[in-house]
Amino acid sequence: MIRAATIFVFLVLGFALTQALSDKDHDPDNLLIVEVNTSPERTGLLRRQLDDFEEANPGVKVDVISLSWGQAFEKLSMMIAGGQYPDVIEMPDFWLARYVSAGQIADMTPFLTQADFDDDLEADTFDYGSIRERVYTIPYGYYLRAMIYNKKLFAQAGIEKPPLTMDEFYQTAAKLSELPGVSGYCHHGGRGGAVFYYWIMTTMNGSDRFFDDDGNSTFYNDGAVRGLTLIRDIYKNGYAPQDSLNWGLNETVSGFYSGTCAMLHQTPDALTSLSKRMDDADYASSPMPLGPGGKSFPHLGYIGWSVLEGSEKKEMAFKLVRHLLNRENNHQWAQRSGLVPIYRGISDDIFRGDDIRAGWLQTTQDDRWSYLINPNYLSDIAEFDSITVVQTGQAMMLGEKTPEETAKMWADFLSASQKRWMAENE
Amino acid sequence: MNKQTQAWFYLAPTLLFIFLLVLIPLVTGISYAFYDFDLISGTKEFVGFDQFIRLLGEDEIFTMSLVNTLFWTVSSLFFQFMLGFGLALILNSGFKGISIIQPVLFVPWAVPSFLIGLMWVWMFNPVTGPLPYLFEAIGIMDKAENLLSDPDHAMWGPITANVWFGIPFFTIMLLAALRSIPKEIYEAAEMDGVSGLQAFRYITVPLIAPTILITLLIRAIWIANFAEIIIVMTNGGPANSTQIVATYIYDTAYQKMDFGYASVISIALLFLLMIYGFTLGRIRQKMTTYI
Amino acid sequence: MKNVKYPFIIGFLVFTLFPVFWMLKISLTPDRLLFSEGIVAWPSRITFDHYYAVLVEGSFPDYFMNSFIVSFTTAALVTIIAALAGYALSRFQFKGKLAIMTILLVTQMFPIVMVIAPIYNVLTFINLVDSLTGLILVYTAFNLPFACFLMQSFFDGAPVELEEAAMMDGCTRLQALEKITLPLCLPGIGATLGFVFTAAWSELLFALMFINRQSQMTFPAGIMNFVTKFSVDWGQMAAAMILALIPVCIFFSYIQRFIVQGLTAGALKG
Repeated sequence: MIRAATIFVFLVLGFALTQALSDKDHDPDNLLIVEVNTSPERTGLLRRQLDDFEEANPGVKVDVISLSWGQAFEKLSMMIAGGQYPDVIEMPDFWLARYVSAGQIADMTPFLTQADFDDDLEADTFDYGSIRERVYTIPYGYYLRAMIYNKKLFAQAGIEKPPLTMDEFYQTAAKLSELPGVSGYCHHGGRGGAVFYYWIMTTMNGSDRFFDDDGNSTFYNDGAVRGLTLIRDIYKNGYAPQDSLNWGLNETVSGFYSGTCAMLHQTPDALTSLSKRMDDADYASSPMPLGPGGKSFPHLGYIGWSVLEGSEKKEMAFKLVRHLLNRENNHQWAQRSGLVPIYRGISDDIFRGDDIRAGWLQTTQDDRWSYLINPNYLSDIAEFDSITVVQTGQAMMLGEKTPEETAKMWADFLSASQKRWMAENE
Repeated sequence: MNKQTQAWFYLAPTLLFIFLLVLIPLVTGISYAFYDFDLISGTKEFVGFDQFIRLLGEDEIFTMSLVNTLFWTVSSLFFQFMLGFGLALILNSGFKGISIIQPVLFVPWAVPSFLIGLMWVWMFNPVTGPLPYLFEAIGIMDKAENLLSDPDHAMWGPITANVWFGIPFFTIMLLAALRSIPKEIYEAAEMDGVSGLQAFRYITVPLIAPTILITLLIRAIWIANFAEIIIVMTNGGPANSTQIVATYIYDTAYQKMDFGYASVISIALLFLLMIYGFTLGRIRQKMTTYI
Repeated sequence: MKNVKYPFIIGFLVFTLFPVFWMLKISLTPDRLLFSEGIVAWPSRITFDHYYAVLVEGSFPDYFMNSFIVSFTTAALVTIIAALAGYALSRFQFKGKLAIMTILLVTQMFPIVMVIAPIYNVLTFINLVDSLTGLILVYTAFNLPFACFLMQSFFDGAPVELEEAAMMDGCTRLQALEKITLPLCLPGIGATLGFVFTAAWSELLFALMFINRQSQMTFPAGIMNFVTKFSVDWGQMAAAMILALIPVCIFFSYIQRFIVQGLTAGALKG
């Protein structure tokens, strides 16, 4: 027995040694691209677009690593800290400042300009991906928010149309909640929910600005407090499910298709998972409700492609980014993920035609709606959104803190951060 | 070969593994505490004990999570141990169909912890699971609601999941220990007129005491460090009511990317666990000299 | 005792199996019915689509194979190495024993999230990132401390006298260990094997962090593919989970013979 065991141990260790000595990592001559917002269907599309690229550039091979969204941030930072540099990575807006300030992202400004793309490119595309006027990422699409609503439940509650104003939003939520087992609004109280608070606070403020010229947060204003009070009341009065306090993205979507709640504040890519589980006739979308000033500022997020500073094949990497973002590829890409594409002409093609996408079409075309962009250049914004806002927001919903206190706490943090940034960029 | 050298010879493979893959990383991890360390840029700035002062001085969440950790660890451990021990005693006494039931009872230990979390999230959710209606029916809840979003009682959600997961551990370990007791001892005791309960108290417990102590020790340490179930089920919420030190460390390291401070919190936890380990170690020493 | 035994066992079975049953139900429910039927004990219509998707369309057979290789090798490696160490800790008095035991214990007290980055660097250094071998080595290292304690406690429980008698009769120490003590410790060996196997089978964090290629993923890491940003494929995930429990049950039915019958077998051989 002992002899067999000894032999086994040596066999395993010997095998480990041969593995360690063999060079089996991804071929260093290949480009390496890392995707983070992974879904099986999209990975297939990415692979096809990469195959096209390989065909157009003989001798070039591209390897893909697909990370799952929940752990992508941890994993990517681990790879980079371990000295394993991909060439191209998928870069969500809220990570950008972190990676740029760490010096890990290549400055694209000298290599890619708006002229490389056709005129139809959404005007701000390059701005969105820039920090201090240097381009670090180019968005492949926009995650714009609209309100998805359950037509069946609306009909049951005798409501004819989706809410157009904030007052209607509150009353609609209240009315829907009279149905047994149904709450009006799918509140996103867990991680990722910050942008809803930002929408309601700025919209009630009547301005899409986060800061005044001196760097003071607009969350000090009365409108912001009224906005927080409104959502707190919706929750307190039972117009949102009791456990939505803890809901993440997944739960809000499943809450919606299970009929637990009837209005969902979401980006268009959520429609893909809804269409698998609901009949198309049962839901539709409308733009986010308007504030007292007759305007509304739905949040616009983006994810783009960035090239790493540590990449040894930057030229080819930039070429790959350009390839992935060309009109035809972007069309397929946006269509597949249900995103607002970066080319204006395509947008129409993707969103026109049915009730389900009507909310986005109107948001992109009607002047009463303009986009709210997070202050993504602040390097502590990601942590503030995903931890502080979630924890203190929950405390407010539970009545442990008032909306006034909460708004002030957030404003204090943001003002300090903004002023630091202004001082650094004097 | 004298006994000293022999001992090291037997220990060598273990020490090699531990040194390379546990000890070196551990020391590196601890060293972060003295640096302002950014994982992404790789910059390290020596700050000495500054971050320790921050922990002791102004960190309310840490104090809160410490209390939660104590509650989480003690409750989970208590139920896991009592139920696991009970089950081990029953399995040890044997019954019909044991060989079919036994492997099934060990199943929870083999489920990945994040799946355990997801599974129990389903069970507690009034839309997808039966538990809220059960609670309503037996009167511990007025209305079928989600336990996990009630800040006063949310911790019982992850604790239930953890107990479900942890019972088999104690069952396997204690059952193996019970099985190692030679039957002759009981037979001799019976002939001397010792009652069943006395045999349990004076034969069974002392003989499996080393296993009991080591499992209690190690399990408590693991539970205190066990964040996955809570991260999946409540993410520390609502409003930090299920935030334990381990989840706080995870947030600090991977959400705030503040590895330096995360390491400081980890060292604080390490220190407290060492006190616990030392105490239990002393008890074990006393008990072995007894027997 | 008899009277309480059966209700107790039934209680345990219900507590243990009910969540598993609920997962089984989810795995058989068609996606559209999953949320629309409310809380029912059994869906009005069942489907095996999820099992088909997991077993035929997905990469799960590969994931299961990888998991099995990793778990089995780790379990065997740890049990062998820990048996040696546990034996030394139990039978020898030597300088530095307390220090070693303290170190083994302390390794368990530091949160794993804090050592992932340094381990990643070690693995990069020895060129074993993104390989099952690297994962096996890491699992072995992390399961060793507890396995050593466990084996030590089982050796403590086995009487020294028999072993010494055998050595008086001319056996070497290793022979005495093999012939006398190991059979006595079979339950402990079985428990250690079972414990390490399941720990490696269900481990997620290391698997997720150290493996990049789809072809090298273990089952827990593979199952994360069902969690995308917006939705979780509950049906397939539940199906994969149910399937993953089968090998573990088989492994345990095999292992339990050691745990249950270890002593009698040992007595016969001795």
